[in-house]
Amino acid sequence: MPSIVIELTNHCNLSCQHCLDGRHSSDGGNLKIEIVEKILQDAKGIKIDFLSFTGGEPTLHPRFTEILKKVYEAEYNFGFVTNGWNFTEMYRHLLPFRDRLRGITFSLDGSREETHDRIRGKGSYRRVMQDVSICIVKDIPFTINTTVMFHTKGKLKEMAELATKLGSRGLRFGHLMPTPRNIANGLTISPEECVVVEGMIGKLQQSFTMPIIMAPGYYTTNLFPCATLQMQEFNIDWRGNVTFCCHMSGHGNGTGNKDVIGNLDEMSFAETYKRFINLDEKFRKEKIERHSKREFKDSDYFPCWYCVNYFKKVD
Amino acid sequence: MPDLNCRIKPDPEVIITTLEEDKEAVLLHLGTKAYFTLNETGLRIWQLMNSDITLREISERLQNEFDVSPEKAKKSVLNLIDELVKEKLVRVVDE
Ligand SMILES: C[S@@+](CC[C@H](N)C(=O)[O-])C[C@H]1O[C@@H](n2cnc3c(N)ncnc32)[C@H](O)[C@@H]1O
Ligand code: SF4
Ligand code: SF4
Repeated sequence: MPSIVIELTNHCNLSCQHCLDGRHSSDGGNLKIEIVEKILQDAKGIKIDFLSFTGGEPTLHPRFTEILKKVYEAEYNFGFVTNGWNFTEMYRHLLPFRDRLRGITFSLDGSREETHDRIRGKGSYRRVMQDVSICIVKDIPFTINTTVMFHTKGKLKEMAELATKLGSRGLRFGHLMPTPRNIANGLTISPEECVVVEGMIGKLQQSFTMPIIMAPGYYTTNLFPCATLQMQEFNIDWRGNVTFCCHMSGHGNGTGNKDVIGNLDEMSFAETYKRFINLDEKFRKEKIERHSKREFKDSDYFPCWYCVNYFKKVD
Repeated sequence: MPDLNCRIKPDPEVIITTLEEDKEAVLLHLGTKAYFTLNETGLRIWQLMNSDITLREISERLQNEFDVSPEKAKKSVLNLIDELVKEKLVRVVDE
């Protein structure tokens, strides 16, 4: 079943070293509740039954609980990804909607307190540990998301062990989208290291019973490796823009919006869906053509880089 | 095995999370990653542990606060501390 990733807000209480600057800029805002209503009205029509909230920090949307109530009443399943900072306070508000909550994803960027806190700020690791404690007692399913960076690339097994011991239902490794700040902070890894990391994750997938997922973005000869490119995932940013991929929302701030399909203030979700199909067809055709004409550069085999270049998200 | 004259301290690697308006709590040891849940009495014992008093004094406070017999209070304290020591969630300060 296809799903929608919805960026509820661009605001965030943290300023993690690796994050896309455009994701938590001071001139950000919150998704209008009317737009959420529009999505809820139309999405069932294209067989969507799962909504995943992201941000910024999605739980900071001033009407977060009200949104969850609407989602619940419209009979959608949902989940969200969070830094977990305010979860010990807000988890109570989730409980009435528990039976449609498919899972919470906590971001954890180091298996040890010092490593995680160096990226996300002091006290952040302990907060996530408190959050997962609550999830265990309240039987709320959770998973962990780890962005592979310079300091985590050699600690993938430790992350998997930690996630298992904590009772996580899964672990997702994401690759780092480079930004001027995370490059300057030495957090990025080379394409060669990405390939090694991919191999290590492959081995972990075989040796752990907990599901371990690797986000698309590493080297692959599969031209359409992710849910978005398989038309299984739609993305909406906090402005109400339906975008090609959530990875790119906030990326390359001010360097083009070719990935924007339409704005839900101006059109229905059903209309943006039609446009999405057209854009996807064009994207597919061009990618296949470039590949068959042997016009692919090495970096084009890193699918997210291909997209970032295709949609001119970099200068 | 700790007795009523002991003082106990939480292990510094333990994180406590309280739930339901302080009626329940869960402990997580950052080293072993073991979880341990505390009911209302357990949580009170844990809080009293931090005030540097002996297990005897803790059990006396419980008798008053929860209106239980001295025997029951002593047993609750010693049983819980026993389990917490086994799980390495607390340390005996003096015996
Ligand atoms: C943008 S955050 C939004 C949700 C929430 N604030 C959090 O941190 O979980 C979603 C995920 O994107 C990851 N992320 C942030 N910056 C990234 C980057 N430059 N490249 C790849 N993933 C990134 C975060 O680590 C987090 O797991
Ligand atoms: S990764 Fe999440 S928590 Fe960190 S700054 Fe970005 S949006 Fe905020
Ligand atoms: S950037 Fe492209 S390849 Fe990467 S996740 Fe988004 S749509 Fe998929």
